[in-house]
Amino acid sequence: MNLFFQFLLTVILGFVAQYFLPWWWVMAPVAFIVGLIFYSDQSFYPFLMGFFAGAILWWGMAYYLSTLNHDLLAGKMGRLFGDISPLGLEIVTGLLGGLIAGLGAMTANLGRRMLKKAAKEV
Amino acid sequence: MRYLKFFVSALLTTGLVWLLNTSNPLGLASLPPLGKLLSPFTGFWQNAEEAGVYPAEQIRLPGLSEPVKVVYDTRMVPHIFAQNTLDALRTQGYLTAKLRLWQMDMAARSGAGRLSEIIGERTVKQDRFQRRRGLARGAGATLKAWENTPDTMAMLMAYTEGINAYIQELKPKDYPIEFKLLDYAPELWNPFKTALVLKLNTALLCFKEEDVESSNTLTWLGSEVFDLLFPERPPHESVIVPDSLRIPDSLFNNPTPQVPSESLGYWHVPLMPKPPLDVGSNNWAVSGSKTSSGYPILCNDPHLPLSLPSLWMEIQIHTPEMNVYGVSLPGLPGVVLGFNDHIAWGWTNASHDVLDWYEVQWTGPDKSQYVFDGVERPVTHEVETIYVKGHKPVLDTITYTHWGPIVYEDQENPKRNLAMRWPAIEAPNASELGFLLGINAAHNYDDFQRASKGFHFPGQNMVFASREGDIAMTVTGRYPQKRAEQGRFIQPGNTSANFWEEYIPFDDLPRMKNPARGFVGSANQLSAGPAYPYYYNGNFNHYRGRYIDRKLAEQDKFSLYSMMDLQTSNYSIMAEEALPAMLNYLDKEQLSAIELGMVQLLSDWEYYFNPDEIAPILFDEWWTALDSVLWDEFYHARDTLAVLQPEKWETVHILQSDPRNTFWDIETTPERESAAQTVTVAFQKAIKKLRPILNEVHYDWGTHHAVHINHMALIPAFSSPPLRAGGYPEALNATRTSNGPSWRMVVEMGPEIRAYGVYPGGQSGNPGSFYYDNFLETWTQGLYYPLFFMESPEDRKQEVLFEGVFSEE
Repeated sequence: MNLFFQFLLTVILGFVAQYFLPWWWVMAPVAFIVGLIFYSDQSFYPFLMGFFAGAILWWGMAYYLSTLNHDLLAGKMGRLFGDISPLGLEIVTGLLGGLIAGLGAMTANLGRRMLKKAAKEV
Repeated sequence: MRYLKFFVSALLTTGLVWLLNTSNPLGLASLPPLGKLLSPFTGFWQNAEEAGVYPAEQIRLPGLSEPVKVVYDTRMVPHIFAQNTLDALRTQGYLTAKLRLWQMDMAARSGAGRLSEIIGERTVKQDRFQRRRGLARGAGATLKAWENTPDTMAMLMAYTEGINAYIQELKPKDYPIEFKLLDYAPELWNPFKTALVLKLNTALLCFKEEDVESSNTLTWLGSEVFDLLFPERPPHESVIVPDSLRIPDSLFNNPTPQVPSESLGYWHVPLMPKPPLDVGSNNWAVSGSKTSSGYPILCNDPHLPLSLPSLWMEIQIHTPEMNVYGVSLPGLPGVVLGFNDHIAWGWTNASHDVLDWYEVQWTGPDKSQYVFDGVERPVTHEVETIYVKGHKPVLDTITYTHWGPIVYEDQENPKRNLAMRWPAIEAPNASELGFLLGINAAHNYDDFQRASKGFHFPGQNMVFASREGDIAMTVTGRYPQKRAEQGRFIQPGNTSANFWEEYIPFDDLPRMKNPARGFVGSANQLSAGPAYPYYYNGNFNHYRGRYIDRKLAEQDKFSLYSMMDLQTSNYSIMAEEALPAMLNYLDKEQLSAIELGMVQLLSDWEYYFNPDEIAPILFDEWWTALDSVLWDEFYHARDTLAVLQPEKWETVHILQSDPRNTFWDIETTPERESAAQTVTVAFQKAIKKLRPILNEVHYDWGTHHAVHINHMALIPAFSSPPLRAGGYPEALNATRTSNGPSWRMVVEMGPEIRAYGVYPGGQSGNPGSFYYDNFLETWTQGLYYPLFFMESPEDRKQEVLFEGVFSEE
């Protein structure tokens, strides 16, 4: 359940953050902040959670904008990037968003576990 | 361990973010910042315009005195309805920036020699060239002149502030896509940039000269052969303003001609890039006596390098003082070519040579002083700093004499230098902008003449038609008073005798109004007949002008539609004259059966360069081959020296009437070829080259001669596919590779103004818009759009797309 909330919160905060902040804030720091709030014993799950949240957000937004545009621009940009189809370009966008958010969430989780262990040892 | 894991993970995250936020990361050339670019919240996805949704707009535009209404028609042409000119131009600035911001930024940067700041080392050479020839200095001088005319300046400021109001609204996600690809932010606009845009286009049209080539050729051939091969007037000339129709000139005493000096010897200099070949245009007007409606018709199609976003943007500006429609140049306020409630106008390039070279005589090896009228004069130096993206700035010291900048140094004798005199950048009283705005509001011939008087560079043949029924042609511009042949060759720069200070007075420029023949026309040919008292030289075209004169004289009942047919005509007088002579010489006994088949194709051809024909390919390749074997001496000379190339009409002249000319001989063979042999060799050479491609199915002139319209930054995905446009540089539809008719317009000036037009592009500069290149197909097929000259914002004679209201609040 934790992971699902974490996922939802990343998507929503990421979506909101875009209106005020540079592009990378949309993912890495948002996922980091959300990752700090929730706790997991393993880093892999937060990574996965961040990854899916970031990927859905970026892919979803790209898909939405490109569909309204009938893939006109995505077709041209795809050719610029070496003959990638509009769908391919949306997937690349999603993977990139996922990777950045996943790493953000994982870093947050590792940080929190580091602090927690340090606190225990005291 | 846990510390390590955290730090590695944190480093990985920040490292990745950094990598994706930087252009050319880790020295990878020309890679944009991928994260920034791909992010759907800030990157290119934001430039994907939604199809078919255009809600009404409410836009706050500070500085407006009254609200302004803008109606967009279905081709995305804005129609501005304002209560005064300043409000209208402010709105024009805003919405031009909205449609074409990146293009404007590029034009200003290119003119200033500042491309390297955003592109890198690749454009340093080009920037250096722009600074050497002094476009920015010229723009500065021009702006100073504008500052003395408060009316012009007020209009320019309104336009500028309109542009900046739009730029200041933008967040990075709203930047045009090219800013994102090149990773830079738009700068604010200013009047200097408008002057730069003007100078850049001036350079395109009046930077052409061949003084170095002419001097070398004269030295090489001697004056007898030179005069034979390079006469100043073609055998069949059809000048713009014939002597019999010219309005009389004021009295003029021609200065004594001076024989050009052959003693200057060969010049070995790396020549600056020339403006593209085949830049030219057509315009004409016929009076009501020659049209079926009884009203005058005016036509214009300027041929220029074509690009996407297009050079032109269509617009209508309606105020209580003026109501004007036409194409504007993004960066310049007002309409450049078009019509208003009272008059229509159009331009072709006058093509006069207004750029001269002077050999400077140094007094010492340090080149700090030179001799002029026996007195030593010091030079001045200016250091240009070119900032280069990702590299150290490049410094370039430019030496100035009173002639102008030193541009060339002889590579074999560094003591010999050439200074450039180009009055287009001196611009002491430049009021081209005032002219433009004056003509936008002109009501009749007198207004038009008064406004034209201030137009100095680039010199233009201005065609005019009015609703009152007048038609006229004026060769407008600022042309130096030269001695015969002055400026054809490099001149000694040590004497004031070679310095021209006077310009041809405006009243003496060739012009005609309502000639008895019922039409006026121009297509970059000679301005006036041999009796015109002033000497002028330049880069003229003759075949298109002759065809216009022929067709307009032939008929009496022209309509808008027959004018469109003429404007898009693929017929060429050059082929009509050259081909029969070429076929005549051809030695058919030497030809194979296949070659004879080709000859048959050519014999049946009627000289139209239509896209679905094969004969034009054969003719064009045969002509090219002939040029290279007939003038082989020139091709060889060019290996070591810059020399001229004989004009096409000179080749035709020799073909028609001079079979004994020694140049028919092919230099590299021991025997002496006759005209027949050389023409046959050229034919076989062409067919040999064409054999492999002619076997392809569907290979025709449309494929062979396809027009490519490239994106301004040469991004293939944003460029046009090959267009089967037909045409030929010597036909009225003057297309070649990436040059051609950049705007076609036909206007009938009756009680109701009827106008048609098209340009190869679209109103939006955004490759993610459906209005980026939507006119291409119409243009390629030679079709036109009816132009919607709206009477009021409520006018619905044609459909509209959406409306916007601009107001201060």
